Amino acid sequence: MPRCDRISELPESLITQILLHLPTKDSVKTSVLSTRWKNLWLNVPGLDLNTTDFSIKTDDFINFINRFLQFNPESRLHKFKVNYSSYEVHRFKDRIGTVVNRGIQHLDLQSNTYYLDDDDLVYPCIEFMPLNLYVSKTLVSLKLSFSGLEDPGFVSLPCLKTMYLRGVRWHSNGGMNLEKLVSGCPVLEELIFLRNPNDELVVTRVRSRSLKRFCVPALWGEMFRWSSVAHTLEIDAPGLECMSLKEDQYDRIVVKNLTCLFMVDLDIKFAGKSFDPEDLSKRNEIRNFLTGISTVRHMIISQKTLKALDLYSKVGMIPKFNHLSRLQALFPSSLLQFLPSFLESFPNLKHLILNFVYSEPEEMEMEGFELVDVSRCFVSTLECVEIKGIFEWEENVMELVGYFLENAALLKKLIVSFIGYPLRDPESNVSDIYEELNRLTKLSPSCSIVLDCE
Amino acid sequence: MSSNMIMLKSSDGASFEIEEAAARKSKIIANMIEVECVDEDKAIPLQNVTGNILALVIEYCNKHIVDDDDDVATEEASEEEEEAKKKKVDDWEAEFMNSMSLETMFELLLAANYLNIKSLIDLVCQTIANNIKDKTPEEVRKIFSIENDFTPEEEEEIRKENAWAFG
Repeated sequence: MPRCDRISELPESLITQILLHLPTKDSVKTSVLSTRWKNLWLNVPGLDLNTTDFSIKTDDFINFINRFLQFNPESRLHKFKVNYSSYEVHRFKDRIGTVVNRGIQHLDLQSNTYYLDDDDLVYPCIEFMPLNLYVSKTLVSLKLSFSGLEDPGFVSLPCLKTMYLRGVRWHSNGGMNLEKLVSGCPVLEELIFLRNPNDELVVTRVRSRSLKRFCVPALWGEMFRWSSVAHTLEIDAPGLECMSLKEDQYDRIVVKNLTCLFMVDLDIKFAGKSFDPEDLSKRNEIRNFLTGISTVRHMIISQKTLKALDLYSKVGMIPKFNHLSRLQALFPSSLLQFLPSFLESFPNLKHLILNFVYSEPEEMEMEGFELVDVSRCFVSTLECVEIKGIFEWEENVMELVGYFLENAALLKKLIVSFIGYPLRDPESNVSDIYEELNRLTKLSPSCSIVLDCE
Repeated sequence: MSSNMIMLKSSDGASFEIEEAAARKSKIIANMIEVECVDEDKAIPLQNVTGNILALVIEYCNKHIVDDDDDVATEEASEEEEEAKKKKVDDWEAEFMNSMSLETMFELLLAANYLNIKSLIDLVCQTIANNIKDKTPEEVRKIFSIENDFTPEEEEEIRKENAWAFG
């Protein structure tokens, strides 16, 4: 062999660190490389397993874990990541308890939710976490999918920084909930929480002084069943900087003390089903929510949220977002008429990004489309406007571009991004558009116009 | 902003000037600075790191100099800009690792370990691990020039012990 074998010469501690970055399956496979590698995988301070790699019929999986844990019974473990969602594993809870006792820092479990009974039928089940998990002094990140959490009496997770809970089940005796869990995490910075559709809790409360990021992630096509109970999400986190609400998992959202809020990303319609403008308490709730987040500097909103705000604005006031400097919105073309009054809410806006969304034909109400009113930000702050997702250079787009050019006094840059252009419309080319644009009056003479055609 | 510069000297006698903030990425050097055994005009000798590897380490440290301040959300930096910045660093790291041979990677790993630069250790380990992931033992032996010193019987025995992993 011409080259020498450098990897085998590395100190064992470095080889095991390399192996820690691999799924355990790949790590185990290194045992046949050479005699040097025979037992190295057993000294890796962590496991990353999926039960689908093991036979269902035998105890291979649990035997493997036992063998691994017994090889170095005193050593500390760094990471334990197991997907056992495919079938029930007997005595697995004990093993979780063992790894927690061995100083685990990163725990990532995807629990099973069914068990095979003696009658060979499959029944739903909840697997509860061992009690020592709630008082781990070493845990830094915790990710649980569909696990059961019961009331441990006392929660103390002094190092826990990130927690991702997806579909976890709280014990039905009612003693355990998110508020109780979070209250024992004094340095928690990030919480991602997807509620289990079967839980009957009326209020999900996120109350933390340390929390910086909170997210309700999108379900991505997973089924979400609505129960008859109305659910409220209450967020009380004075240190919160970023909040993403990407799913309508709650009938009501209440925010409190969000004085540090920097960024929001909204894809909600403020109601489980649809927003009824006649509903007075709903109106108050939306107003309170908007007021509660009105200190943000950066906002991203979806089409769904924008439609809800349009409906709401007909019956209630959108408060002023005096600190907002950057707004990114998916704007349906049918709602362009709403744009001027919407922008009124952002008197100090600097940077606006409009992702143009072409509406369904039946929603098209573009006749007599005219943009007249001008928000205060046009006079004093608006510097950059990006209009994205344009298919064709048509009247509406022209009107929109003109609206900004003719009214924004400090505009430095206007960018129009086309999708698949000019391939789609070879007749008119870019220089024609520039010519057309140059004929418009620019209130800000130094504004540069960029056409981005990919 | 002016910042302190310090000198590092490789095992083969090459000298490098580096900003103190970048050098502090190394726990060992940070410690030396703390206990003030760093003389303004005297280079810190690093006996275990050659010049060409030290140059790579310094390139890495310079690129990650701002990391420690990232916890504080800067006034106008939006999430998107943060993301763009992170992607830029990720791209840079990928390119950085891509540009070197396995041989160099091992040297760099040893140097990062000696200098105690946690994030660089992780980056190199991950890159080496990627060369092992989803490969057969035969492929891994070939990539790393590992000589198989098992008898076929011994190898068979080990495979049997953990048959699930070789399926």
